[in-house]
Amino acid sequence: MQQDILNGVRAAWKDRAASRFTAPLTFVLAMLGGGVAVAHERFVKHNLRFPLKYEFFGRWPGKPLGLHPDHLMIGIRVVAILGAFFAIWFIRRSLTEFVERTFLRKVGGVVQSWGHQFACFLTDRPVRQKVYHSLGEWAVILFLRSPGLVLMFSATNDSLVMPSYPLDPASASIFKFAQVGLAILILTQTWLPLCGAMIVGTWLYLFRWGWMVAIDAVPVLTVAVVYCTSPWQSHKLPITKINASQMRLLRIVLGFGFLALGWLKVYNHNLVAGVADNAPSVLNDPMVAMLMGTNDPNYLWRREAWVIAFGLAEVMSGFMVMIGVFTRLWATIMAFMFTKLMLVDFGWDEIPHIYPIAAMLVVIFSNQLTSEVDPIEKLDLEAWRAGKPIKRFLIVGTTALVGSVLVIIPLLYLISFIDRTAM
Amino acid sequence: MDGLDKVSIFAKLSKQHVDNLGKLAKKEKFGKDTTIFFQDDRSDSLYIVVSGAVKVFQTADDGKERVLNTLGPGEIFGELGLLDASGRSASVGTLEATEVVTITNDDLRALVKSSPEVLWKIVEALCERVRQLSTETLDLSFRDVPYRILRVLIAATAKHGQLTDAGTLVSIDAKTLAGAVNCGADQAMRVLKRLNDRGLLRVDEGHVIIPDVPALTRALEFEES
Repeated sequence: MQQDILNGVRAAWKDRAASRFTAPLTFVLAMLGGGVAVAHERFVKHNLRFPLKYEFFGRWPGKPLGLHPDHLMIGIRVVAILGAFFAIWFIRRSLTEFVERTFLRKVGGVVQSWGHQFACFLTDRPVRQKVYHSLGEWAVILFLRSPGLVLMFSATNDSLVMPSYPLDPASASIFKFAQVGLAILILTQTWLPLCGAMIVGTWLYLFRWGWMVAIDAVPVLTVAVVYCTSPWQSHKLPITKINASQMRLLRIVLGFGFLALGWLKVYNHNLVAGVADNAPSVLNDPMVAMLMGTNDPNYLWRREAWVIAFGLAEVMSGFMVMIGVFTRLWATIMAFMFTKLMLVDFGWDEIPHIYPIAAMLVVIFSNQLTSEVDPIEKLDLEAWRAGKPIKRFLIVGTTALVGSVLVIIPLLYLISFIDRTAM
Repeated sequence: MDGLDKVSIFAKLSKQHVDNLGKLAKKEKFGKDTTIFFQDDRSDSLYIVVSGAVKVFQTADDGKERVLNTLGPGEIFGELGLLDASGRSASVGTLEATEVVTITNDDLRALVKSSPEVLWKIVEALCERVRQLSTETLDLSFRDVPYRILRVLIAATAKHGQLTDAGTLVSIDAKTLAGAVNCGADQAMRVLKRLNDRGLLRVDEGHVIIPDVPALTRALEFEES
């Protein structure tokens, strides 16, 4: 078995035309899969202080879709917000054009210029401004190196990446040295494709402890895709930009990561409610309260509704980033949320969140943003140019409605069939 | 609308065509230092400068501006969008209070169908832009900054210079000049100061006054030799 793997590694190295990260990926998988690593980390559950009212999450015969009405209402509110954002996205050019031509042109000068830049920021168009450009370069530098800082931090704290994954004392030193080695490669920007492959390998390794652990760590793949698509001579290059195709990959993986994490939060309600029990300040988030429809402390289903709303808020923002609809706006909201979680709600233990914040900053300050709904927008623009408002309304309306319903309702419905009380 | 028949691209149209066009065209006034449209905006209209002056410029990701051209009365801009229906390739901003006439692409397309000579005029304007870009590329490769500044100044004087008692006033500042010749604003200011010391021009806030345009043209010839 080991010989076969080594032969595979040799063959991959020989084949220069093979993908740039085949060899290191095979190597890492061989290391991880070959029984060298015997440590295991535990996914620490945040214990519930009070039992949840599990019936809220289950089936309610006779009610619409068989869901508790408040449960369904949270889903409908999210669908409405998604639909509104979709619709505004398609008409954003008309809106900004109206504002710019009606108001900003009359003002002129610096106000017009800044107003235009702000509109560009909100609508994911290039913001051509010196400070913005410099911040973008700085964000890329931080993003490419932040995993190294996180790995160093976790190695000194006997954990694997996050304090939530403590290392077994029996084999902790192996993992700590491996983390420091990878961190040195990352911080010195050496062989970035190898670093990317090692991160992908480590992520695959997490499946040994269950799919939920792996899903929890999907966002780390964001930097892996950028590393894997970087040149081998990375140590010689001052990388301060991420090209359009890398940015697209980054956006999709980052968005998908948080979309998956959001659904995991809905699924694993005990864990999320446990977090709230241990850090009650998170219950007071205004955006989540808006999705819940109330912030009344005496509301009967407060913790249960909060779990669903909190999870779906993450699904919503992750989905928007993934498909590239108001990417900068959603990334800004997420960067704010993570910073708040790190500085206010959870404190020092969550300092590794500097990594997703750096990823968000890269997205926020990028002038290379694209959208997965561009083909639909093209149809809409054609209808606009041809002066067909009804066709335009149908294109925008159908996409907004169908898209937002499909993202939320089917999975919310299906999960309610699964009994998760014993998780 | 009065005066359309004096605009070069409509010069050959019949009176009826010009009258019809006048009904479709819209006059707009912009104050100084106002951007008429931005790079990447939707291209929906063609603009004709009636009075004043505008600069056509591109902005790089790091905010640096490159001035491609300055335009005066009778000149058109925004014509590329008519031909390829893509976004604006550059921004256009006013150098002084400016009046323009706008014609939507749809109206212009209809006009071109009935009077194809309009399209030829637009193509002529495009050819002039291409020639100018070729000259600029050559200048950037082989000419130094003072020559390039003189050339831009003389061109701007011809396009939108205004006769005053003190000489010909051109609404252009050092920053715009620097953007047009691809040098730093400090360097452009030094060159202007040198020309000022030689009595060839006078630099004022936001504009340049040229007492003797032929003398400035001779200075260009001198720089050339």
